[in-house]
Amino acid sequence: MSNEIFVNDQDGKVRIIVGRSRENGQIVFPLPRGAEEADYERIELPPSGTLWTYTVQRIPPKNPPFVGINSPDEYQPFAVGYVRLGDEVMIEGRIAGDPDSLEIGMPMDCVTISFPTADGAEMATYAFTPANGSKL
Amino acid sequence: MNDVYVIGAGIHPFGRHEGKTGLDLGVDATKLALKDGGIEWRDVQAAFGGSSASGNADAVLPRMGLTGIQFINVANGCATGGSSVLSAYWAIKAGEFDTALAVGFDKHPRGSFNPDPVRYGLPQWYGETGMMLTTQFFAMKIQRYMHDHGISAQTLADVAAKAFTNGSRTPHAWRRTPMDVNTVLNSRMISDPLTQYMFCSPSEGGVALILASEKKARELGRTQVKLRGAAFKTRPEHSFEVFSPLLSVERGETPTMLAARSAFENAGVGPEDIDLAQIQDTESGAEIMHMAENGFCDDGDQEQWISEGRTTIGGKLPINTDGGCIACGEPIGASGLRQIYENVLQLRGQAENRQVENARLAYSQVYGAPGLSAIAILEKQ
Repeated sequence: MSNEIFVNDQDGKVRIIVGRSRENGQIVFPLPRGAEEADYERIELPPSGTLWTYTVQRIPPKNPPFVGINSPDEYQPFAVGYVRLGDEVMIEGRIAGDPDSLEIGMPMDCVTISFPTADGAEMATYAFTPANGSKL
Repeated sequence: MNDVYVIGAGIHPFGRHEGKTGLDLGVDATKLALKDGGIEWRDVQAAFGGSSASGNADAVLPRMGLTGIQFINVANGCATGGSSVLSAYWAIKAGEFDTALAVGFDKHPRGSFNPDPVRYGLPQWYGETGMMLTTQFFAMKIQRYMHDHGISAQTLADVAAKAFTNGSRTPHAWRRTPMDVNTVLNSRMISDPLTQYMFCSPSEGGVALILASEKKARELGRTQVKLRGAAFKTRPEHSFEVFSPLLSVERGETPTMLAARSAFENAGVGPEDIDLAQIQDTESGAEIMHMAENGFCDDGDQEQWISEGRTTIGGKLPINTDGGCIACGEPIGASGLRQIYENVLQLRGQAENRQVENARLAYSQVYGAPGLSAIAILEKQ
């Protein structure tokens, strides 16, 4: 995943990048690339927010499109959720940590994770995790 | 504007059918619908059909006869069947045709759907990281809804148990064995809070309907069931829909709310007039949320409605009388047509041991990715 999706600052904070339409103010994610990019103002969202909803992917997703390890005996379930970042939008992403500790409304931080792929490589992505001080 | 009647209905039972192609199921259903409608294939003037995984729906033509009929292939996700029948409805209502076929069939591989992100205008990483699953969306929508409106896991299980009870009485259903609430609750967790038996599965099946103008329906002596109103809407701004990497904080109406309002207005009736309903139950939570989105109850009232059995056959508003998607499975092209097929049987009094007594108005709503809803309201004459 390229750094056009998020920035990982020197202060250790991860900020997701969205685009605000210069025409109607609507926010889009991911920020369009190519010729269309000029129509959007690049915005970095706050690095923390609150959990709006979530679920846990208990069974292995099919490959394609999933590239992680999905054999039934090696698959590791993961949580997915929407986190409200700022006043306008919520972003969908994977949630790192114990899926059974999650609660709607809990504070969350943006982080990066990397997971092993079925072909032996690693894939990095943005993710969320319960903020320091909340139960994990 | 012409009044429109459903004069013929045919179904190939849903389930798994070794040795038959999806197309075979569609052809079987079409022949049954023609026979039921008392009409010859050469007298059908227009056709609309869809299949997601079994090729082009107009492949039925060489099998039925190359009469030169106008045939339009329809592709609208899980609402393909609903879209086909709406297209036929408008064609006849507009006075262009006196007879039209709506047909849908499908045969899906086992397991969840695995769509390609690019076909939905999404980046590849959305699927690569494991978020391109409809099941996650349904789970996250009901998870938030339970939090906001006090719906319990018990109620999710009650909906599934009702589906299996109704399916056990339905010859065209796939899952025909009743299942108790505890078995549903204790089955494997698929995507919290939804367990295995709360979800429908992709399956196989075919359905065909013959629609006709009032003039033609009278000529054939088949005026029992009128298509009184119909509507179709896609998602508005601020709706929580499948495959959305971003949502606005502001929450708004859903495509089902828009379509319901439009269909009721179109039919000149209200939710309180409806005697039975087939509504999209991709999983138990969808049936619960769609009860409110279609206007049958307020958010949160479902807990009481369902515990009192109001949505069972014999209740105030029986819902998914043939077991819905949960018991029938979901062959995408045919699913919305199955709902109307079931309503036709109910209004004709042909639903045998799942018959809803004294039903006059029957409602159907199908929902599909990436956020669209199609509704049809049938009336017994």
